[in-house]
Amino acid sequence: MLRKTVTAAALLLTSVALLTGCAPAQAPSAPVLTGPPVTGGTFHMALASDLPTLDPAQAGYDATSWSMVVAVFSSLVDYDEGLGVTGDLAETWTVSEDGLTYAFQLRDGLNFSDGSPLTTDDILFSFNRLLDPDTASPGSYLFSNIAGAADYMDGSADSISGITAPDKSNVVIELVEPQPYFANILAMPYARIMSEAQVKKYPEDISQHALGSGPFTVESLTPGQELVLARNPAYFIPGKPYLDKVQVDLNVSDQTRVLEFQRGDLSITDVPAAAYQELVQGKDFAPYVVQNEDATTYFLGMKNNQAPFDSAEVRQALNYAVDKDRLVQLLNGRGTVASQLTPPPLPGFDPDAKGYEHDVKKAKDLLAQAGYADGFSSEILTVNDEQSMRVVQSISADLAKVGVDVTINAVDQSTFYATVGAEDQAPMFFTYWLNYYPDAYDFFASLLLPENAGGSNMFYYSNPDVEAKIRELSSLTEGRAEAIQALDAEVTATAPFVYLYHSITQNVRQSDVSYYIHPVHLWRFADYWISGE
Amino acid sequence: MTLTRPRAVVPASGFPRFLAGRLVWLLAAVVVVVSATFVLIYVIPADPVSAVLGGRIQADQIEAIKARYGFDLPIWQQYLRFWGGLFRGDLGFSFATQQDVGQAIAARAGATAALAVAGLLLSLLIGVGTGVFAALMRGTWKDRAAMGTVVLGMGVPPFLMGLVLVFVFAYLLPVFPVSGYGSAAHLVLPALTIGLTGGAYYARLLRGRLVEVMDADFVRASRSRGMRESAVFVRHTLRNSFLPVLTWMGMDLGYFLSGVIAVEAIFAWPGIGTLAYRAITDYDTPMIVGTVLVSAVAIVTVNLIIDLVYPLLDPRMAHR
Amino acid sequence: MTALMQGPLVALAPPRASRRPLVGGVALALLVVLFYVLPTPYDPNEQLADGLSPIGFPLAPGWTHPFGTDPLGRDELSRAIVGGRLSLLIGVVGSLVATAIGSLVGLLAGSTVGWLSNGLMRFTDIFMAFPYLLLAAALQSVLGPGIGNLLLVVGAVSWVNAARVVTAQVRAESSLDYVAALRTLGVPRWRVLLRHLLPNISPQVMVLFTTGISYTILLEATLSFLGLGIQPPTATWGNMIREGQAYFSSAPWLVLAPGLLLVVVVTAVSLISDAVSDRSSKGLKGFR
Repeated sequence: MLRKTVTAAALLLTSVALLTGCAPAQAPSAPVLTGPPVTGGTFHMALASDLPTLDPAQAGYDATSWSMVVAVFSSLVDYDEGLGVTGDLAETWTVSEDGLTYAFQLRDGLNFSDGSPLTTDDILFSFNRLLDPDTASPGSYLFSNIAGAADYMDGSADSISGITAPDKSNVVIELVEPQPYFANILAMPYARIMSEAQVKKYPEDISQHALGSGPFTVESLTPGQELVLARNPAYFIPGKPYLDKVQVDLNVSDQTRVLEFQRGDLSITDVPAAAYQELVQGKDFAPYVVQNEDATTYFLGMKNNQAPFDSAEVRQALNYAVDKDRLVQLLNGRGTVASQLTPPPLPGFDPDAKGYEHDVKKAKDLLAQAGYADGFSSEILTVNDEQSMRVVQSISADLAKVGVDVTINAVDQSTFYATVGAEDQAPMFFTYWLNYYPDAYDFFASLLLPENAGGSNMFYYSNPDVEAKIRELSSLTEGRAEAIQALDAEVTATAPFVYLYHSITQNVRQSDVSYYIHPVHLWRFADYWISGE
Repeated sequence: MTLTRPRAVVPASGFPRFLAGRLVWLLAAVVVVVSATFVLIYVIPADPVSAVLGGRIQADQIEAIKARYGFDLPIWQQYLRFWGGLFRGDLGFSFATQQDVGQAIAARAGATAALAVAGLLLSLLIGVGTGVFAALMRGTWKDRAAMGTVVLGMGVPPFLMGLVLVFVFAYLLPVFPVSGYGSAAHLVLPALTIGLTGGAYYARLLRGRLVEVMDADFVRASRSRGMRESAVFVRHTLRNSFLPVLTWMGMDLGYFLSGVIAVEAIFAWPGIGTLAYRAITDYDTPMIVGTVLVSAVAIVTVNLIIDLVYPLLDPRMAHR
Repeated sequence: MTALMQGPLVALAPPRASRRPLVGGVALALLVVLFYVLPTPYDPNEQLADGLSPIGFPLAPGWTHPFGTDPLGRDELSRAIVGGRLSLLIGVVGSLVATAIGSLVGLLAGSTVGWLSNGLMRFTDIFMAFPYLLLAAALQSVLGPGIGNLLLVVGAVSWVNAARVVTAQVRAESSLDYVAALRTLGVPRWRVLLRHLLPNISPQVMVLFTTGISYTILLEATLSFLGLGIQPPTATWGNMIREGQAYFSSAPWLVLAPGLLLVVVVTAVSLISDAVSDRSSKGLKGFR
């Protein structure tokens, strides 16, 4: 089992390397960690958005929370610099032959950053809190394969029977059925270990009083303004982290982030489209571009159970109508056209998949077949950030050419998530899925299973044949990649949504910053250092 | 056409009664504003819990959380609970930001107050300087040039001025930070944005008044009594022209204290304006009500203070 | 700043009459020709196949696109033109709505005595305590985007000043001898109000209306800049500036083109309202 994970990780890294080879902008994609690590210094960055939460159980759709939660909290197992899973609080772990029992041996002398001991009670508490219906964690469904989780979640049991601690340094987790990527799920921000005493002390606002055992502690959190992390002196991995401090400015506009980076105030920055020429093509920073092929798929969603989108022809027609190459051009080439749900970095991605080409005539024909020769009117819900607005406006212009007249409803992120799942709202919407864990199963299960309808299945997609195959995939260990490809082709034919693109993220670093983008957790501050020239 | 907001005239019964009356008015205004806001925002289709968690968790979980924070009660009960909480000094809890509303506003009040005062001072400095200059030079090309610039300045919305200043000070003259909060230097550009756009109004207001007063009989009389020109200007002309400026100042300060949304947004200034803006886009109803309440209190308080200061400057109105 | 926060506080005594109204009139006439008479060179919402550089960057101003193209490859001049149409339309209609509501309230409050008048005056006073832009933003987000809703928001937040000014005017006018004379002659109150008072204060109402136009244009631009007003792909100057702001250093025309047009139009309108105001105050003086 353990060996298998490692193989999978190796496979993934290869595919990343292969694909970035044909990416339009040439930039290093492997971790840029050069020279011997240097201890000290402050890593300074800025985010366009606020930080939604530091409560691991709530660190859901918004990936910006993930990195911060990962910096402050530890979990039983965690990612290394790539997609490999290694021990974190657990020194080692074993998986039984049948793949159902995970036994973790904890490190000695574990403490929270305030010096209080981290015990197996805290670990059991954290999992029980995560799945407690009152916690209302958006990620609870990911852990439903743990034995007894279902009973606990529907209130018929007082605790999760499948998580136990035989003694002070061992934790055992039992599963209902084998799950090849279960270790990846344990590495998610959701499964981070919290202090029971702290949670009981601050039941309402634990996010403001985050206490974990991760590489950093929260020095200060000013909502909407800044988060300052300081080195956790009691961190259990000797020598880490390298940085003394991490400062994250919040709600900083595109042009300001770029400007502050150019002035040398920020250690890294993302590259908004407006700054692409200056940062990526200009000679000052081109050598310091750090690139990551994201495990994302962007799509234009539709409510599959509502007219006119209950017609497969209509959904296919819209797939043909949208000019995906233009979208990639709008992204300054930082993406690849999506022809399948599985994103390029994940195993099972099929480089030869056909997908839907841009073909206005075919789109019109299909619409006519479905009885919409004159088109129809609808509405696209989108988050109102600069890039989404550009993409959605481009899509709406494409749809207008086949007679589909859409208005754009641009809203804030929170409003977006409030309305996108509602059955009678948001007939069309622009969003994406970023892998929770690096396995295509996440995409199929989260987006297409009927029990997630209204939640992550925003499309109300329901197809018994596809559903059966997804459930089969859950525990499949042999021939997994091939099964994913076959399933993906079948799903693509039913066109649950309009396939748009897979994104590529570019960041720029200052020359003295050793930095990389983690494929799952984005920023892993514990691994960065500043050589301080 | 009145030049100023009609000022309350102090009744014969004296100052304490006047003050009491104004305070009652102040309270009434705040109550009405808050009530109207309450009704207004509870028409919003999305409640704060669904806005944050909707689509991610089951509907019954959402109901449970709504019940915990009292969002499931009928609007009149929520309304009464709000006032009940207010009397205990509790402005409510913002579910969207997981913060106490009162604490969140208190944490940002300093930033907004600093920007409001600095912005007002710069407006005055620029406005009074230009206005006096134009009045003294009246009829000359210097007057016309100054006032032409002022008219143009009045057509520039603050957000555009802010963007231009960011550009100028980011690329051409990088001396001040263009974003954030923390030092006096951070204050310069947002305050200058307010000063330049707001100053135009003071300049125009003051020049108009000055020119009027300069021609007034009592000023001519003082001059003919042999007072020095500069003394006449300062003691009579300026003093008598300053009342409308004072009124406008009061209103400006009140509104600045409620947060200058666009300017705060451009400079990432962590004030009440950005807090309110975010609350509006997040459907964060407790935070919207809280910021509106605090803003309304700021506006009426400043106006009350101006009411009290007014007679000190205007010899015709005295509190006895 | 001030105007945006407080609404059209008119009655800024304008400098002596000059050729400035003429300048404003000519400028506005030219812009109206530009906005309404000349055709737009391109469809403002068309994403031109050659409207972007190969790496997806907007094109700089040149012969084919005098204002360049925007980040979606649309012709910036065409968008600025249709944006101007919308801005002027919203300015005129919005100000009309606000002035009408305000005048009605003002007429009622100024011409009556007792509880109705007092109540209306108090209500207007209390409305002054509303944080202005905050109210507009909240209202817009409750009602949802759209031109109709925007006009509603403008009307709802901008009537106060008109109400105050008209109340004061009606009061002042009512105390004049001719009103008393008419009443003594047995002319009914409503007739005095409509036939004599209203025509006499109409110059002030005109001033309120013209000042209100520039104010409304600025309010719309600010709301759209904050993403709360008119929604893309419909072009208005406010959302064009919003879309262009990230490009200020690399493609400054995206902010400067709509920005300068906005300033020119608002200035032209305020020069014209100066002229109206000049004339009306002269008229008043003559009457008195």
